[in-house]
Amino acid sequence: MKGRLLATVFALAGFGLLTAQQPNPDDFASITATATPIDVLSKCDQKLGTVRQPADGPTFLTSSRQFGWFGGAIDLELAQQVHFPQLAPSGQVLEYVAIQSITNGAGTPGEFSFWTDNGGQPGALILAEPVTTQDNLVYQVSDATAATLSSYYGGQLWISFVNISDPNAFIGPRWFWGSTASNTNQANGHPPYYAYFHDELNRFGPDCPKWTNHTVCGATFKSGPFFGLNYELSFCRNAKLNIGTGVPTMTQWGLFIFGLVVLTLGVVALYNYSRQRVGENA
Amino acid sequence: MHFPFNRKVFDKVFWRVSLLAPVAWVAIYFIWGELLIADIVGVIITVPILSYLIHVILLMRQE
Repeated sequence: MKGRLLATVFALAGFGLLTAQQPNPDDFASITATATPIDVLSKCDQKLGTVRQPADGPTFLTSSRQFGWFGGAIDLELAQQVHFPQLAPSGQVLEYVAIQSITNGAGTPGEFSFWTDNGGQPGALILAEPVTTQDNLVYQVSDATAATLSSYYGGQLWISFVNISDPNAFIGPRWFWGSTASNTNQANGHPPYYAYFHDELNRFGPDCPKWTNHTVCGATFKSGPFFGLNYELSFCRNAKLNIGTGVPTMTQWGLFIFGLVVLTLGVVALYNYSRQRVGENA
Repeated sequence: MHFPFNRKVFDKVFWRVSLLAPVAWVAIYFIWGELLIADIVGVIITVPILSYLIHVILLMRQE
């Protein structure tokens, strides 16, 4: 029995090693920084789900240094289409947003925003939250933000991140975008080129509107046509005592306790009846 | 109505049921995703009533 148990354990371990997902070597092609997978769910008491880009797990993205025509540090904003999962209507909320912003050295203040979908590109701004960039940025959204975004569950949104990125820096604020097909969100049924970028100073030229994909602007990239922001939206909850909304639950508890009291009285009556029968027979 | 009561049996049952209270709170939290004040109060009220019920059932079995 013990031998069979050990054999089963070894077989399962071997199967796990064989089927473990291997990262695409392309994803590491131009990375000089050390990136670690985001572990935002470790911050949650209750894990509800994760929307991750790339969909197949945390992989490392290609450096924004691919934008070779930029001479220095600039503000770049990259928007990425997000399909919010349809969550059970039991008060589940988006608690954390993690953006894998791989920087060398200290990060700089940035901002991420949520946008509505407007025919396949970012539409109206829903909200914008300032953040501080750091390695594997994990941002806890406010209750107000979570409440606002909850009305978009099951729908299509865009998430964008803007930060100063120095394309020529090896040491300094430099963050990375995806550049391979494996970084597209096709697992969610989207076509390529769903990522749009935005340069505040219109350095993409007059033909580039606010939200632009690279095919419109005709930019020359050194590798890969696909761009993607590496993000992770974590739907999770932490222990909360909610004093203000106890009425429905108290009603349920009231019914339960009422039923319990009735049951107890019934059992007591049965007990008394059985004792009375014993007394009569004696 | 006569309410039977055996202190020794009730005490034994009460403490065992009381140990289940934290388990109930944890279960509520993980099933419903939140723990309300009403849940804490509800469990606290339920413990002695449930203890008494079990205590009566045990008395019936003993006698």
